Amino acid sequence: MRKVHPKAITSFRFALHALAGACAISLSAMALALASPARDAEVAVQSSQGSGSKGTQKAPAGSSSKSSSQAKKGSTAKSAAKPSSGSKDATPATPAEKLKSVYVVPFKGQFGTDIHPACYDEILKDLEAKRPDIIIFELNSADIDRVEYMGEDMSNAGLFSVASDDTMMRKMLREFKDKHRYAQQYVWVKDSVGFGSLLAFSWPDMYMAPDARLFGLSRAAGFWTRVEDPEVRAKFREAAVAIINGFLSSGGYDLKIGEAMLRPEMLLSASYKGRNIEWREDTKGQWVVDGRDDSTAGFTAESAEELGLSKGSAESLDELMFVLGIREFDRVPDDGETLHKKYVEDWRKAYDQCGKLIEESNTAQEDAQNANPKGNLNKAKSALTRVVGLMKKYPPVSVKLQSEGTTLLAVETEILRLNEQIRALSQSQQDQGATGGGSRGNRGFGGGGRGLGR
Amino acid sequence: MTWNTNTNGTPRRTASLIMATCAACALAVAAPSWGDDALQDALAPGSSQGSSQGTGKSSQGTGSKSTKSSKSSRSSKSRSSSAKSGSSGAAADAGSADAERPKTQVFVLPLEGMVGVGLRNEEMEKLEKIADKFGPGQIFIIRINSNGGLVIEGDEINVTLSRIKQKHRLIAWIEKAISGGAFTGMHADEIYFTPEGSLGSITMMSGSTEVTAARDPWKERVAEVAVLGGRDPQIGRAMVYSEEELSYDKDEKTGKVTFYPNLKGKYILSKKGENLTLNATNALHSGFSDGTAATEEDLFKLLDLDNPERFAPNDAGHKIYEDYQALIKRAQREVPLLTRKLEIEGTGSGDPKVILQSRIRNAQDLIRWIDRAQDVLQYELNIPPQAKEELEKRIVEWRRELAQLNRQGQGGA
Repeated sequence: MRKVHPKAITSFRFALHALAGACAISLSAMALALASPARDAEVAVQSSQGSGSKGTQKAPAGSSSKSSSQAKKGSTAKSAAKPSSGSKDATPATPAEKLKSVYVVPFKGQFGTDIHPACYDEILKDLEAKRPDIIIFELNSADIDRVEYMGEDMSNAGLFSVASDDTMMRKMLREFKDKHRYAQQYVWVKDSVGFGSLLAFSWPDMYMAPDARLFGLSRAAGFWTRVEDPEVRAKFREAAVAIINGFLSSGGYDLKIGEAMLRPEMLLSASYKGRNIEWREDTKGQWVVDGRDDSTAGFTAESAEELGLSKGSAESLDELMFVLGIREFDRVPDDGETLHKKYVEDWRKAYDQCGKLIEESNTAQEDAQNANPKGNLNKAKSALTRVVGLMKKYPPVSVKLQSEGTTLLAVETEILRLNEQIRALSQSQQDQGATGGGSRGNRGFGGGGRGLGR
Repeated sequence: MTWNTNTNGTPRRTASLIMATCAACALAVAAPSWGDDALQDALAPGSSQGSSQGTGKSSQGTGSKSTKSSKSSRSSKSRSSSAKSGSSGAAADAGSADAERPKTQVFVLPLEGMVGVGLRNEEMEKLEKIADKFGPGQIFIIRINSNGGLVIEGDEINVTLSRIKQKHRLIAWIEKAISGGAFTGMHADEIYFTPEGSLGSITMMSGSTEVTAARDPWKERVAEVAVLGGRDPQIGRAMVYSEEELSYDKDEKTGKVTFYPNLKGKYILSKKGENLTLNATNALHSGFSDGTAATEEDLFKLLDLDNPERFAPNDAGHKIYEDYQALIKRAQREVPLLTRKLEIEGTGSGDPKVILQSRIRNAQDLIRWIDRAQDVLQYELNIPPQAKEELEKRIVEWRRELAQLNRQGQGGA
């Protein structure tokens, strides 16, 4: 599908130095507001509203030449700040020129389930087959509001164990980053609150939607805050910070940013030193990102761009391409977006099915106490066997159920018990047949099991 | 039996060994009931290393943004003389003789998981034997991904890696080396990180408490290992005890790094209350690492091992890793279920003979697992080696009972 940028971009930020004074205030205010997860939510809404209004700076149709020049001006300023910026002159491809193919890989939904390596197996194969020129990693994973998978149910917050799940996430990232080096890769943050931010910082070229948020790594603090011994707490904390900072390090970001996003007691400010930004663990920098010792650092699209983390803002893929200097491109049909959507739909459907099957199994076990014990127990067993199958087929189902206390081992153990109950009933029936209906005492389980709780 | 898993599906920690280093699992680790040997070993006095202020590796030249230190710096590393004089060293001499010389083998041994379980001395020794067949001077790369683990395994690793270094060129490639993983990696004269790599946090702990009695000797022991790898001992100390500060200065021209046990250096690595853990970027800048490589191909290029006429990648390390990891995964998957089967299977029959036969069969399977994957069962699934003896006794009893039932059955008939 050939895509042409519909209008010029106007959401660029102004030259960084000009905003220095205002930044210190706005970022401090944001840092204050990002103090706690609860406050995170509140502030993020406020900041997104703020950003949103700025995001509406789009030039009206017909003013494209002006906005183009604005965009270019913004790009130049940005480029001056970061020479490796993706801002380029957006020129249309000549007829003879092959259009760049663009493949979108969504990191969308709940971290740990919707964003699970298993969801990307097919995408990685597809990439190998299609070998696009550009890969856009579209990150939209927020543990608070604005995302459909969350609703009001905090149990849908991202699932990630710092020292257990990090390996599979690193492996997945390496699969994308190393095996597809032939392609230009960019991460585009539409929204990231929670562990998804690890992914945002894993690529050196980050772009954001105008109302995007980038924070929430402080959830990892649970790894060390429960530890009483100060030495062990320090050990766990620094280990967790380094493991998480590994993702930032791989994207080329300053480690102080990760520390401030993880440890509430850490402060963060930044100053320009020549063309480079120097990050500080205090409030002496020109821009104070986090001036409080009881809050973690976080960024809006605006602050991230002002501080050089994000290389530009784009509301849509078309805009992003324009910011990258590509006015015309071919979006690869049925790319990662289609494959991911399907996988997520499938595993979530399977998860819902597991809930029903567990319910069905529990009901059948209850029914077995009253009537047709063998039939009902077989029904219960069959339901759980299907649950095992789905848990094995879809790792996110297993992750999700485990987060609710239902492990694969627990289900398999329940099947073992049911097997024995069925066996007891069969034996009892055989005995009754052989002896003309007598009982062999307390052999049987009598139907009705313990069931699985959810 | 006390080593069965509990009812909520997670393994019950009835008796965990002393964990010096396992950051990931120690939260769940209960007080140790054995493993005192490990503690004793760890408490063994280490020699006091270094001055209060030392220098980094004199050879570091990492001033540029390159992810590799200068070649000249690498060549001046404290590599063992015997490794230098081996075929690797010989191969370094350019000339027509290259074609006649056997190629230097390049082994990569991934070591993944808890120290003592997934990251073990045994796999290193297995590969050592294979490498030895090619003569001294082979390239021995250990790729580490571990949250740490058992001190006692660290002692064995210390002996094995020290020996390997005498014969071959040992290189550590760090994906994640926390605690015991860091202890392992620091044995290498050459350390490379993956871009996401991390290394440090070596405080010795038991359950969720620091082993304070072991702090000083352990600190010096880790400092010794740092020196063994050609690094400043203060780095080791700062990774053990949070009161140890560490900063450094770097001569941007020569790349020489000078460490300080305080915050007087321009670059601060660890403040009071922190436990030093490095990432790829500060490890490279401080000269702790020699470079950063995402893939094996990248690493080989950095190490100048990508010349097929002189070097031959050997898959033996990968094979050892894959076989052992497959075994670990199978054990983790099958053994907990087997312990459940031991409890449950056959009970529904109501027939004591069927129950006994099921128990004997499952107990035999479990014994086979204890023999095949003892470390996994002991340290991850809480089935100690003593369980084998107990199971064997039980099997004898069950067989006796079974025989008795058979005799009764025959008598009745």
